[in-house]
Amino acid sequence: MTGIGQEAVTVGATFCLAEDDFIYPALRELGAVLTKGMSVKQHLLDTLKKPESMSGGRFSAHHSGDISKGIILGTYIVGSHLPIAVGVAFSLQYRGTDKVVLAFFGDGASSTGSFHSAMNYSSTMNLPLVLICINNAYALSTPLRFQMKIPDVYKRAEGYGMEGVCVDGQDVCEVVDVVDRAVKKARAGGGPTLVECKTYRFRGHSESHDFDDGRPPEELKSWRAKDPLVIYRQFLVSNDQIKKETLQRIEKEVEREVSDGVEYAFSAPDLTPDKEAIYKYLSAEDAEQERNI
Amino acid sequence: MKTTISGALRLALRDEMTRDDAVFLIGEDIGYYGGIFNVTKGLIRQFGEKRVIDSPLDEIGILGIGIGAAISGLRPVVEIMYADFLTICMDQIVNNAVKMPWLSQGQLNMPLTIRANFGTGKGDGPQHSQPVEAWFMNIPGLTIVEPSIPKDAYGLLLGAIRYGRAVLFLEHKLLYGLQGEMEPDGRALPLGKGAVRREGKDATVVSCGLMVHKAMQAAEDLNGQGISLEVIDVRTIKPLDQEIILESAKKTGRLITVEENPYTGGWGLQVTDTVNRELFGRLKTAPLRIASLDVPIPAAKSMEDVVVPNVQRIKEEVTCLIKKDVSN
Repeated sequence: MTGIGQEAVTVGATFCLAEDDFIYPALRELGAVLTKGMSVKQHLLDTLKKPESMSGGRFSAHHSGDISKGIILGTYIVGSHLPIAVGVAFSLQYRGTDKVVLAFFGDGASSTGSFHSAMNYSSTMNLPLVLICINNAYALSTPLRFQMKIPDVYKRAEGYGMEGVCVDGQDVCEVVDVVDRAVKKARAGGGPTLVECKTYRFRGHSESHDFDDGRPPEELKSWRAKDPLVIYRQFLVSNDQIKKETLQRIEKEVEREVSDGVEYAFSAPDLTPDKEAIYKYLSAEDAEQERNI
Repeated sequence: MKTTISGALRLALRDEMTRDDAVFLIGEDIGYYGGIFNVTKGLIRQFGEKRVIDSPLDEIGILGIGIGAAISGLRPVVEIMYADFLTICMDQIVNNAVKMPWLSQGQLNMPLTIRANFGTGKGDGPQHSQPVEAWFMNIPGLTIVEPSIPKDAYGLLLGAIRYGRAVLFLEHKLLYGLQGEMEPDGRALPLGKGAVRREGKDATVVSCGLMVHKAMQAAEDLNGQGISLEVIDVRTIKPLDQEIILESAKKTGRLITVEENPYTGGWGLQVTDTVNRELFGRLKTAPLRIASLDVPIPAAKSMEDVVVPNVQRIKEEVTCLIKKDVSN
């Protein structure tokens, strides 16, 4: 599952966090996970369920998490992570820290009871949480018009006594501006914010699904013209924000990190399951009992 | 000292909250109201609104707070007002609470205690008194605890809070007022260990919670008729204390389970399976399961009494089993 087309949201929002803040990814937040410090190599090891994967083959990429980097282990149950994000935010407040949780979810998840639950609890308890709704207009194949009566998710915030903001999810600068404000507010004890980012996914629901998922081709075409990577690159270059050489150097570094990661992960040995080890960590007797955060 | 089960639970919460700042309570009406059965009465005055939290009426959110807090350094004790409402937050328990430690290879801990009252006997009907134990048997990683006396209620609740994984702590609502001796000594009981409540030689009766008391009454009555029952209180339904069950069944040669949940798929099956596997051919009779009928719990107490095992039914079925065996 890719988040291609949605990078301005995932990278931009996560960019606003400090090292010891937390993100709670949903399912196509690779941009957030990498920005929060997971390596490409680790991500690919998780994808390929190699012995060195975060879950030791028990889970898959995007969901794997690494709490040492503030990346919370995800779930395949859409929306189900949002109440837990509230719980982590509660814990941060309870222990008197000024840390913040950033939770991602899609327009589909906004229909779940878990979303309602997270909105109501975080607002009522005034918790340091920023809810990032990645509205890409489709839940798998279901368009927004079948999902909800209103076109905007952010407007729901008002009903919870919460601030709701809407941003252009293809413009990383706008995402950073708005999320940075929401993070600072949460850190200062101002409570949660719902940020809706209007965006579009350039690929199908997953790479294993038929790419033709019923979305109109002209719609995809018009969104592809608003590729967040192209938009930001143009902004940087045309405004002399960055030297061409610097940009090229960064791009080379990224390419190297990716190719190194690919090479390492694909050549890493596969798992040889150990029947005893499969039980490990299920009961507390196997647990390392130190507090994690 | 002498106290009730609800008093013992309150003492356990008080003692552990005093000992460990990471312990907090959240649930519906548990603060100033003191909980639907008064278990948390007065704790909000002692520990304040920060640590005794009245939640919105939303079980998904209660579990969300519990799980999120548990993976980030706290030891939550969440209360689900009636165990029937566990259905609402089943997703959080099944998909997240028990899996997160395992999926993260222990990077995340889950010191989460889920308290819930449950059980028949008050005429509370089909959505306020379901025996829910068996629903949770098939969830790897979940521990299910059910105390039957005040002393155990105290020790097992401490054990649950100190345990690093999700524990479903079931409190039988008919037993809250049951009195017994206990000392609030801060000592936890280990989870997964049963207790022999009465020694006997003709048959082993395995039960938990309210059914322990019914089995004990049946054993007392049958003793006068020359039938000697050994009664085991498993205390933890999952994982089962196989050792104590097998040892007793080996001795008596007969096994009877008395459970409150409906017959089909009830937790007693796990007991009979364990004994069949280990002692097949060494028993005098096939194991007998006494359980509720396969119907929802009706509200009229007279009907409830037909559905749920009572002392009379236990005595009849046990007598029938033993006589049949003797007449053969």
